Amino acid sequence: MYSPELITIILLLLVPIAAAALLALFKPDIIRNIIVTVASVILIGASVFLAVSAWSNGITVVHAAIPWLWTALFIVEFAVAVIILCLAVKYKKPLAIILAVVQAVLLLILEFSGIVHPQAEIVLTLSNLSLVMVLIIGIIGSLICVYALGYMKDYAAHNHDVPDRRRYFFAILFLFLTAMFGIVLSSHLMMLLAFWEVTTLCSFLLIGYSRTSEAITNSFRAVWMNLIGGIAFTGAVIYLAQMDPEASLLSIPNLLAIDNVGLVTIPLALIALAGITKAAQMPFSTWLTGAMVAPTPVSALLHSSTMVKAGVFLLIVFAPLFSQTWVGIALALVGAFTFLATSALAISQSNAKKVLAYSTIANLGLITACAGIGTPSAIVAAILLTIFHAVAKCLLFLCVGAVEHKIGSRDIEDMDSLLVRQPILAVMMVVGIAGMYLAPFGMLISKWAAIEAFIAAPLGCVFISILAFGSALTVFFWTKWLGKLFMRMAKPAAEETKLNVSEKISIVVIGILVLVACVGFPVITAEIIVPYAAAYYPFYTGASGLFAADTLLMCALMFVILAVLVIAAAVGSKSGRIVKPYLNGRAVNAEGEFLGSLGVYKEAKTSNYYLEEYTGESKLLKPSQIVALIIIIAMFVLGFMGVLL
Amino acid sequence: MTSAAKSPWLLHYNASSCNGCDIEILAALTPLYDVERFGIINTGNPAHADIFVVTGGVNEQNKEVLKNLYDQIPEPKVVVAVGICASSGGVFRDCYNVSGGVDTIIPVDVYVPGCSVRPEALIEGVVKAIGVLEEKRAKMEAEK
Amino acid sequence: MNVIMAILGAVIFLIAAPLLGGLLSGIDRILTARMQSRRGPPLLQPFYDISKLWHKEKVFANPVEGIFTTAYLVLIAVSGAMFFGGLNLLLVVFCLALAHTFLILAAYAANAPYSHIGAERELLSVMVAEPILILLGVGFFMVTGTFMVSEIMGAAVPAICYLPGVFLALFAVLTLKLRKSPFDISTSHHAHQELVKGVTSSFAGKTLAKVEIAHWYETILLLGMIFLFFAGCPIIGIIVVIVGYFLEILIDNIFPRVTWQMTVKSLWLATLILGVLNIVLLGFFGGIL
Repeated sequence: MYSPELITIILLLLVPIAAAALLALFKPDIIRNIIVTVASVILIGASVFLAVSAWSNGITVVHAAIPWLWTALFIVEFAVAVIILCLAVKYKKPLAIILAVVQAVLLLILEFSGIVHPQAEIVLTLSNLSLVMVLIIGIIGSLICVYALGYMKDYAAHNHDVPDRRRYFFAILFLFLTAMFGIVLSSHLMMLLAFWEVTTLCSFLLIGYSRTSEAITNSFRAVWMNLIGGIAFTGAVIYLAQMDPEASLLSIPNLLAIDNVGLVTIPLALIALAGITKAAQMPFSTWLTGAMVAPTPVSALLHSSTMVKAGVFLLIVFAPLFSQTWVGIALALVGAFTFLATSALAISQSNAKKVLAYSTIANLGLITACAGIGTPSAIVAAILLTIFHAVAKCLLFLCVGAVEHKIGSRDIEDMDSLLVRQPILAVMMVVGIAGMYLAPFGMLISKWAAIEAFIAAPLGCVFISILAFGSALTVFFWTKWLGKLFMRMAKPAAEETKLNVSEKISIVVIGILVLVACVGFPVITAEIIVPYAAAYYPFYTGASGLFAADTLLMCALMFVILAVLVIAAAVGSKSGRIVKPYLNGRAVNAEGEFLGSLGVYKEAKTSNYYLEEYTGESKLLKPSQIVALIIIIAMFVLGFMGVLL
Repeated sequence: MTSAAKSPWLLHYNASSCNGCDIEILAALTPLYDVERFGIINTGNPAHADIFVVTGGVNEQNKEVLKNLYDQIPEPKVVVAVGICASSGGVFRDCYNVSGGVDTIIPVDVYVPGCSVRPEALIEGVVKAIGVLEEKRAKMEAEK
Repeated sequence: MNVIMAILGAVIFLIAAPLLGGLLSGIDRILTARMQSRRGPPLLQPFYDISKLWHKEKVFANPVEGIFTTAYLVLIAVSGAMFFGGLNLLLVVFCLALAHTFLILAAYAANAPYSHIGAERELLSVMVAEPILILLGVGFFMVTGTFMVSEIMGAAVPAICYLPGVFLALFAVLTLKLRKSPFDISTSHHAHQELVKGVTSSFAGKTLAKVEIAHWYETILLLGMIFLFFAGCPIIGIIVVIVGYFLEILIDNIFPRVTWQMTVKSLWLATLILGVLNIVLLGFFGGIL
């Protein structure tokens, strides 16, 4: 008899596949709307049920007897490699061809060399981390799919040159969710690897959705970088499989409980590389910045709940091992350096999606740094960062996507006075941005947790110094964006201000989630995240200055002040005389243009600072990639030497 | 004496003056005369100003500017016309493009004649303006 | 007992800081005048200014300016109150950054070119100051094992012995935070500074007064941070604070034409060399003492 948890897990894995199949079959909008809505409701419900039921019953693992699963997994893995190979041949991409072939060969070695003995029974893990990820994927991922309904309708209407392949698009979107659920629930590396490869394929297909030459180039960049990660992962699996005849180390709990970590530093380094590529850390960051050619729901999915989160999930899972090795420190350095470099790069961008992309990479860098350090407080910080980043970043992407369709631009310079032109979107964008960097919102709280974690870590002072400068850069690029939204009305309201219902629902719900997560962070931390870390570190109590009563009280006070201000801004007195902006006394008309000396009204244009000469991509990208590559090479050297802390 | 009188901030605008009076105004800000003794500050910005110090006879190009700057100064505010051109148009009064004095565009409270004005006269004019400023503030308070 | 002390410290700060800050500003203006061979305004001039501004007509470029500057004032006061109430130093730093964000947003809201450039430069100044403020908190933690100001105050050995680099870097950044230099960001009342008054250029009357009072609160808060380095020897601490403030005035008058580009580069260099090196050395050799 199946337990309710197992049934829920099967639902989580199969409902998206079923939805994908149905979506691929039916073309009419109405049927698609129904399928997506129903599937999303089921997924949200199932993920919440699974989390609540597992937490309340204290269930951490689920057993299931599915003997044919192992063959199925191998077929999936191999199929992914073959599909990529075929597409690479079709579009003549030699690098992707070579890597896909290598990957396929490694998979064949793994399968037919007899080093792996699949058990009849599979074990699914329901650790608190997995459950948190299930909630993120289930709720946020599903909401993004709902949002995509309205968005893709507009997208098809706006982009006549792109063939309308929405059936295909939604099918892959849901397939992606299955793969993600698979990754976070697997407790066996073989299983994880299969789903890992599926996410690579899905992201590749989604990035290339529009089939423009830019989309094709960028999708192949994504695929070759992720194939490197996949190859590293397969390499790690092969290495671990042949370490003992039972291949017991392929089971993640066994691997985490290993006595002599010195034996597994090489596979650890390989897993770290896999995580780095998937989480788009330097020098592999360009695949994620290139991924923004895809329709916005894809970006939202890649950045918030799937793909990159799979990368950091893997790293966080192995954090307890990283904490004992120099490989972990090197990994943390890659992350911290990425945080600094991409925060600087974000300053030079005016394209909103690109700013978001760099900020994602930066925050993943911070998570990577925490995972690499791997102490209990660092793990807590990493999970907190993952949660808050997922909600806030998803919200921002959805807002930018909707704004792009409404005002016809995704350039931040065009978003001035958005608060007047698109009130709902702008308010949600403000919530998202504030959630990304301001006290007392989530990301700042998590950064704080990271600071506390770094202090006690080896080389902690270096990490903190990097974090200090990186956060300063973060403050710069977020605030200048925020400021644009508040600029005084200078442009007429957008003609079409109505949002699609599906977009509105998703955006508002996620906006509320951002606030709920921020208010609920002490509970989330104490009840869910600290027990997870404590499972690996029995002496860890979660005590931290951050969670001291008076600090929480002060955070609450700041929330109250902000709430009062919002209310005051909404209902406060508007008495007083409004004067035209100061332009040296020149006459200013209703559009904010000034009267030039030839009697013509001209726009007074000032733009934000982008500091291109210091932070431009042409200046920073190459050197940063080189530095990151050097650190990664050092990581492998340390891995081969097997040095422990 | 209220705080209005103790902290009069100036906005200086050249409405087509020959620069003679402007140099005198700036000279009054030098350490020798040190108007900050009286809490006077030369702001560059109408939003911060209390006393609007205007030089020149005002021509077609800048009369709009003059009016806009005046509008942007919050009440209570006082206008001081500095130099004979600002007071009446001076020798340029009958030029085709000259309005003929600041008071043809905005209300003037204090006239400081001279070509160019001496710093002492200027300071005297500003001190007079401070008196007017106090009156206006009292009136504003009474209206509340 | 601790709670009472904390509330007392916060209340005293909330009441006394504007008075003290205003007086300091008055002294500053007189000293600056003397350094320029002038007499300068009366000591109470800053208070006259505020009182005057408070009675001016309400004029806005954008009505939200009023709310945002109120937020700025309240949050600066709150972060100062947290500091003097002995609470968490990092929280103080983050609250301060939040406060400044509101000032910047208020300037953005006006949508006027001067105001916008002022906002951008103010933002740069926040960015420049952020690393050393975080390092400050971390440095104190490494020395005393706590972020709580109340406990740092009780340290046996003054933190300056371990954190001379952080102290000097903070002192360098103080020039910026006290709105003294560079001239193209600063908004205090010296003739050699930004003419259109940068970030405050669209604020009038009460709005401007609030920004000014917030600045007084911030001055006292920053001087409090300087004092924190000498916790345990209050007399030396007060002397250092006074001498430090005097030096800031002197520096301002010696370097009246420092631009924001120079400031960003030099202050980050100072933070990097003095602050980071100090922290890293402490991390390697000191640990938590």
